Amino acid sequence: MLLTGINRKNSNRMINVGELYLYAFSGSIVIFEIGHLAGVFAEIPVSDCGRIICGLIAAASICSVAGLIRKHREVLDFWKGSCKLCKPCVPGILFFLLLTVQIYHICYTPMMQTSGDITLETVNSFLITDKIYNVSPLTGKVFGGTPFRYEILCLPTVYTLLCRWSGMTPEFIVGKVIPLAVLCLTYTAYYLLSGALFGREDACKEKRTWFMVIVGAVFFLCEQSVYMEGYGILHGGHLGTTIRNSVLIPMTLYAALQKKWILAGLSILAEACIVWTFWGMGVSVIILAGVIFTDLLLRSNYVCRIFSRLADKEGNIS
Amino acid sequence: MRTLMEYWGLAISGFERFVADYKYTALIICVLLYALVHRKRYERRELKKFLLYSGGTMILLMVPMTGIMFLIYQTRFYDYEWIWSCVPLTALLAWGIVTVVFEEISPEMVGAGKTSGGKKLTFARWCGIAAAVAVLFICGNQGRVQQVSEETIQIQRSGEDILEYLESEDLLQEHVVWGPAQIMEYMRSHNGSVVLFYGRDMWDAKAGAYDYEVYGTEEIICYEWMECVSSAHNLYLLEVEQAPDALHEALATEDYIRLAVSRDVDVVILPSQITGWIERKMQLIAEENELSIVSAQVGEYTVWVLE
Repeated sequence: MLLTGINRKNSNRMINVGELYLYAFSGSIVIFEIGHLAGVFAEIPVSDCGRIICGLIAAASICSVAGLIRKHREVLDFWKGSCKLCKPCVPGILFFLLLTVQIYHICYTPMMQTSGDITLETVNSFLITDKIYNVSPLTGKVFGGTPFRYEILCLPTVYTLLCRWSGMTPEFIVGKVIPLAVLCLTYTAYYLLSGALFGREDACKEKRTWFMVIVGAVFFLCEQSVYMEGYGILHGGHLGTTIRNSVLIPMTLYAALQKKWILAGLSILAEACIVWTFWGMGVSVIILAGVIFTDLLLRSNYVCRIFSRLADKEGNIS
Repeated sequence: MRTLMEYWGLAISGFERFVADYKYTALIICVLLYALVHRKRYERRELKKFLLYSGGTMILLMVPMTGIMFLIYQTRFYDYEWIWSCVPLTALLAWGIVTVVFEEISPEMVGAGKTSGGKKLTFARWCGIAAAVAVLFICGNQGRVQQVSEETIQIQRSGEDILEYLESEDLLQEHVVWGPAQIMEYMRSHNGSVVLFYGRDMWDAKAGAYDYEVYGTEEIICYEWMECVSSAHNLYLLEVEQAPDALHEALATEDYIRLAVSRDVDVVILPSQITGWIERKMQLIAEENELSIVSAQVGEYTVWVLE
């Protein structure tokens, strides 16, 4: 992605491929949640939930593609070949080296057990019983007491269905495949965010690439505790909190800064589907509200006036 | 419900923990100060919003009273540190480093390389980036990424062997397994057919979302007995004949195994080192319950099956 350049003519009207990934990701999470809730409340077997989800994803994909072609014909031009490879640059190579090291770490080191993480147990229970929370994930005994805040989160169902559809083991899906996918989505979200911070012009490409290098370095060098993004990326890519902090938060920030309200809304919904908060809204709502508030402040010029008064005072003192 | 004073204490101690762990906080404050000083340089509206939002939220999180509001919002199920998810720390740090290097260390960088001083500017930029990475390196983990410990890998291998044994003997269906915590943890997370006497929430409260299972006294004392007789430290002391009194007392009684068997446990996993102490007791319990007993050594453990 970093080594490719995109024709920036009419860039505002152009559909960004990174954005498409994020739309697809957050939309899929919401669809999975619908299937999951059907499984929880209608007590439908997991395999039937999978059929419902497949149908919904197919319908959503057809609608999305049709909508894209109708509203943004330029996207076709983009695919026709306006995408050209640009000259490989040193920061780009550095970034890919960092990415390779992270991929290697995820693929070839044993999965760390995070306190409170019961994903593997839950996925195994779903696979064995073909029911959602029919047995206690921790003991395997029949019970009926799953806390509501766990029951409504869809990630275990997503992983169970991926295991069932692909035939891979839960350890491989949860420990390798999902963390790699989350890693890619994380960098996509950060690359988009860098565009909002530095601008999308060719002149800013180098800054954006260095930004990605620093982000990659921070992930690798700051992973001592579970709440740090680096920990999530390297040791717990399957966790809901990792997906929230590494993908959804930069994505919401990007959407809020660029005023892409549908993407922001999808991000909020996706967070509610994967991480539980008491109010069911989560961090994305705070970020969206915060950015809207700062936008209003800047519009009203209130902050600028405060700063100019401060500057005047500084001038008077000197 | 927590009282305001409890929240106050959590906010203070949580912030101390956060700053001790996340050493980049100081760098991020420097970035925000830098942005404040050079605020007139930034024309992009998105960037202004990003900096204002990040700075404002950071202040709100650092002030204990407003930090408490975030704590209440995220609920008691999340630790204090998670409230810092509201600030895009990584993005802010990366933006700060790139901006300082490009605007302060090599300000004419844009379009450089064609000028006569281009090489020097490139060198300055490289030095700046190298210095920034060095600071990140020193404040971070110094390149020592966390790994699963050798001891854990060893226990997981034992768990794998025991799981294979139980699968080969068709002992997973309709059997209740009891053993050392880490072995049970491995078995349950790698095979959904395994049914355990008690789950991981016995020793990891977060795993049970604090209210998954409520264990009675019987399960708790059996867990404590099992951890006492299977602790690596205790087993080492037993080998060198310096075992503590608690271990001798634990090995002298069969009450806990009897209690577990009365709660439907029929597969017991114990370290092989204590087989001599346990063998007679297991036979006694099997006779009492009119069951047959089979034992097999799997790696460093002995698997006892009551049928």
